[in-house]
Amino acid sequence: MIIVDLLLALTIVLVAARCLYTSNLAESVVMFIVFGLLLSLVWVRLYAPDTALAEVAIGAGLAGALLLATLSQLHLTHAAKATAMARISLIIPVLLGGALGVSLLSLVQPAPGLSDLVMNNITQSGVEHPVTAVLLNYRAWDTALELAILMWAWAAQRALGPNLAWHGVRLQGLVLVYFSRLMVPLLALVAGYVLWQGAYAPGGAFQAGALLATAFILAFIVQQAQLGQANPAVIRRFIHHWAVKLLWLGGLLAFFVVGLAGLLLGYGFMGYAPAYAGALILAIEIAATFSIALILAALFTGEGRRYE
Amino acid sequence: MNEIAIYLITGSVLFCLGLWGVVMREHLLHKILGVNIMGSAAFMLFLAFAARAEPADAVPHALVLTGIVVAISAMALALALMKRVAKESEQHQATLEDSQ
Amino acid sequence: MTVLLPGLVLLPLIAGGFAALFRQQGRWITLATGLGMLVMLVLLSIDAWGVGQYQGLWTLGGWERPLAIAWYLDDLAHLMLLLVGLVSLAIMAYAWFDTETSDHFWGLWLGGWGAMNALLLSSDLFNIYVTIELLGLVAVALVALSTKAGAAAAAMRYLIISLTGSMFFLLGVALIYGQYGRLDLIGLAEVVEHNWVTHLAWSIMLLGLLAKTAAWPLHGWLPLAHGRAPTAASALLSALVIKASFYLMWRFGVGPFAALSNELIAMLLALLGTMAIFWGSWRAWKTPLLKELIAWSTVAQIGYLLIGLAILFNPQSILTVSEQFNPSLLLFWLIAAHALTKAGLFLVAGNLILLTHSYQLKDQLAVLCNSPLTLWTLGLGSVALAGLPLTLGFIGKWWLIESSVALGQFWLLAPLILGGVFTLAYMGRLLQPAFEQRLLCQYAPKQSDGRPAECISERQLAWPLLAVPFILVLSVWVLALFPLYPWGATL
Repeated sequence: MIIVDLLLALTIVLVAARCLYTSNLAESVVMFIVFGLLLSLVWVRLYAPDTALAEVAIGAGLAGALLLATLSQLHLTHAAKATAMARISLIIPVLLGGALGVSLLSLVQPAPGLSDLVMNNITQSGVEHPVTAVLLNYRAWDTALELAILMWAWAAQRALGPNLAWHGVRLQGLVLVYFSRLMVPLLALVAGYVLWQGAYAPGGAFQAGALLATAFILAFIVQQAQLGQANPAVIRRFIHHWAVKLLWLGGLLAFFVVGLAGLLLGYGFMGYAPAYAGALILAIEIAATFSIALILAALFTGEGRRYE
Repeated sequence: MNEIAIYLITGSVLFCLGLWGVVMREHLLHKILGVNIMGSAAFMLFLAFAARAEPADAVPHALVLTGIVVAISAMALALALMKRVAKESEQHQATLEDSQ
Repeated sequence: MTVLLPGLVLLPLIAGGFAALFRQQGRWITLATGLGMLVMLVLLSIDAWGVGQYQGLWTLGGWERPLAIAWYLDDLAHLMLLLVGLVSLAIMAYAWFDTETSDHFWGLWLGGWGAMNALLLSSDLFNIYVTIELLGLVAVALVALSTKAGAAAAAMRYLIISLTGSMFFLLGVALIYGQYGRLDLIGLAEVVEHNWVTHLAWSIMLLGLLAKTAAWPLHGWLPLAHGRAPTAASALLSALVIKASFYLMWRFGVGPFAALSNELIAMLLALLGTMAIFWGSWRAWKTPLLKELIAWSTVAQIGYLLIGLAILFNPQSILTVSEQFNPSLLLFWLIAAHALTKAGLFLVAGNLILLTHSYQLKDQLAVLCNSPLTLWTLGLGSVALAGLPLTLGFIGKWWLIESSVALGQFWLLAPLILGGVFTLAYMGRLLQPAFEQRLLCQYAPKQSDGRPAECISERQLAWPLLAVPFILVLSVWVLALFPLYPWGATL
C-alpha cells in the first residue's frame, strides 16, 4: 500500500503545482477540482471517511461549481504567463516544503491526542459516531461559529454590490433536464439518509447540507437555463424568500437556544442533558443541514440583481 | 517510512506550493486557489496526526470538517470580490497591479 | 445570572444575523442590540468590582478542559471587551447619523463585534482560528462596502493577506496538536517544552498574526484598505480589528508560549516596531490623501505596540506583578489610547470628506478655518496620538521607555521619542495651515451673515457627527487622570 500512498502524494503535488502554474485559468480550475478529488482519496487513506465525503461534496463539487461559474463571468480567462523567475522559483517551495516535512518526522511516532477522552465520554454524548460527538457535543461551539461564518460570508458577498448573479448557461439538448429530474430528488433522499446515519457512522449535517445544496444548485442551473436570463428562476426566489431566510439562521439559532437552555438548566453553556442529548443533537443537525444547504446555494445563485 | 511520514512531507510541500502561488502568481484566481491549497495542506497535517492513533483520533476529523466549510465560505467571498475587481479594472484584469 | 458572558457573544451574533438578512430593519435591531450590550458590559464591570464571579475559566458544554472548548476571562480580556464595546458603540452612533452609511453595515459589524468578543474570551487554539476567520471576512466586507474607485482592489488585497495569515495560524495549530495532542491554552502552558516543532509552530503562528496586525514589513495592505473603506469602517478596522490579532500575540506570548520567548525574538519584534515607526511616519508625511495619512499613522503606531510586545517577550524584563498592579497591563493603555484616538481621527476625517467632497489633504483647509470643534478634535487627537504627557498614550509610552532603559536597550529610546515628534510633524501638515488659515479668516472679508468667505462650516453636519469624535478624543485625556484600573486588577 505504500506504493499507492507514494503515487497519490506525487500526483497531488504535481496537480497542485500545475493548478497554480498554468496560465490557462480553465485548466487551473479543472486541476483544482482534480486536486479536491485526490485529496478525498488521501483522506480515505488517512482513515477519515467523514472528511473525505465532505471534501468530495464541498471541496471538489461546490467549489468547482463556484469556480466554473466565476470563470464564465470573467472577460479574460488567461493569466499572464509565469515569468522565468517565477518558473525557477518553483523549486523553492518544493525544497523548503520537503525540508520542513522531513523536520517534522519526529511527529510520526504515536503522540498524545484526545482520542481516549472522546471514546470514554461517548456514551454520555448522545451519539455513537465519534466525529459527530466532537462536532455537535464536545466542540459544538466551533460548529456554531462556523455556521456564523457561512452566514457572514453570504452577508459579505451581498455587501459587495448587486453584480454577482450567475447569468446561467444555454443547454444543449435535454440530457441535463432529464438527469436533473432524476438527481434532484435522489440527492435530497441521500442527504436525508446521510444526515440520519451521522449518529452512528460517517455522515452528518455537513455532508447532508452539501448534498442538499447541490440539489438546489442543480435545479437552479437547469431552471435558469430553461427560462432564459430574463426570468428569474423560482428556486432562487424560493431561497431568498423572507420566510425561508429564517431557516438560514435556523442552525445558528438552534445551537444558541439549546446552548442557553443548557446553561439555565445547569449543564453549562452549550451543554446538553445527557438523557436528551441524542434528540437535541438530531434537532440541531436538521436545522443546521437546512442552514448549510440554503446558504451554500445562495452563495452560488446570488440574489439575482445585476448592474445595468 | 510509513504513510504518515509521506503525508506529513506532502502536506508541507503543498503548503509551500500554495504560498508560492499566493506570492508569485499575479492573477487573483491563482492567489485564491493558492490560499485554498495552503488550507488543504494544513488539513493534511491534521489528519495525518489523527491517523497515528488506533482508531483514528476524531477531534482533528471534526476540526477539518469545520475548516472545509470555512474554506468554501472564504472562497465564495473571494471569488465574488475578484469579479468586482475585474469589473472595475480598466482592462478587465483580475490582478492587483493597478491598485497602488 | 450566568448568561452574561455567553450573552455578550450570542446577542450580537443573533441580532447581526437578523440585521444581515432583513437589512431594512438593520438600524433598529442595532439600536436595541447596542443598548443590550451596554447593559451587559456595565453589569459585567460591576461584578468585577465586587464579586468577580465571572473571572476565570469556563469550559463549554459541561465537559472537562482538554476535550471541551474553554473560555477564559481575566482583567485583560475584560478590559478589551469593554474597549471593543465602547468604541463600537461610539462608532455605530456616528454611523447612525452618517448619511453615507450603507444598510449592510449594521449586520456586518454586529457579526464582527460578536466575533471579537468570542475571540477575546476564547482559550482554545482552533476556536480562535474560527473566530479570526469570521472577523477577517467581516473586516474585508466592511472595506468593500465603499463604492470608491480602488476599494474593491484594496479589499481583495486585504482578503488575500488575511486568509494567508489565517492559514499560517492554522498550520501552527496543526503542528501544536501533532506535538501535544491538545488545543486549550491553559493546558498547553503546562506541557509546552523546547523543541523544534514547538518553535516552528509558534514562529509560523506569529508570522500569520503579524501579517494580520499589519506589522512592518507586512503592512502594505493597511493604508489602502483603511484609507479607502467607508468612514465608520475605517474607524472600526484601525481602532479594533487589528488589535484582535495583536491581542492574540500578547495572549500566546505570555501564556502557553512564554517558555519559548528569547532575546532574539524580542530583538526582532523591537526592530520591526522601530522600522514601522520610521517608515509609517515617513509615508504619512508624504501622502497627499487625508485618510491615507491617518492610515499610515496606524502603521507607525503599531510599531509602539510591537516594541511593547518585544518588552513583554524579553525574558530579561522583570515584571513585578503585585496584588494591585500589573505593569504589563500598561500595554493595554497604549492599545486603548490608540483605539480611542484613531477612531476619533478617522471620524473627523469622515466629516471633512463629507463637507469638502475631496480626499485631498490640501482641500480640507476650507473647512478647518471656520470649524472650531473639528479643529479642537484634531488638535487634541494629534497630541494624544503623539503620546505627550497628560494623555493616556503617555502612560503606556512611559512604561515602554522605562522598560527599555531597565533592559539596557537604550537604542529603543530613539524610535520611542522620535515617534512622538514625527506624529506631531505629520499631523501638523493638517493643523499648522489650519491655524494660519483661521487667523487669516478672521481678517478676511465677511459675508452678509457674518461668516468668512470661502469657508465651509462644520455646522452643516448633524451635531452627533461632531460630538462623537470629540468625545472619543477627549476620553483619552480624561482617562489619563484615572489610569489605574477601576477594580483591583491582576493578570
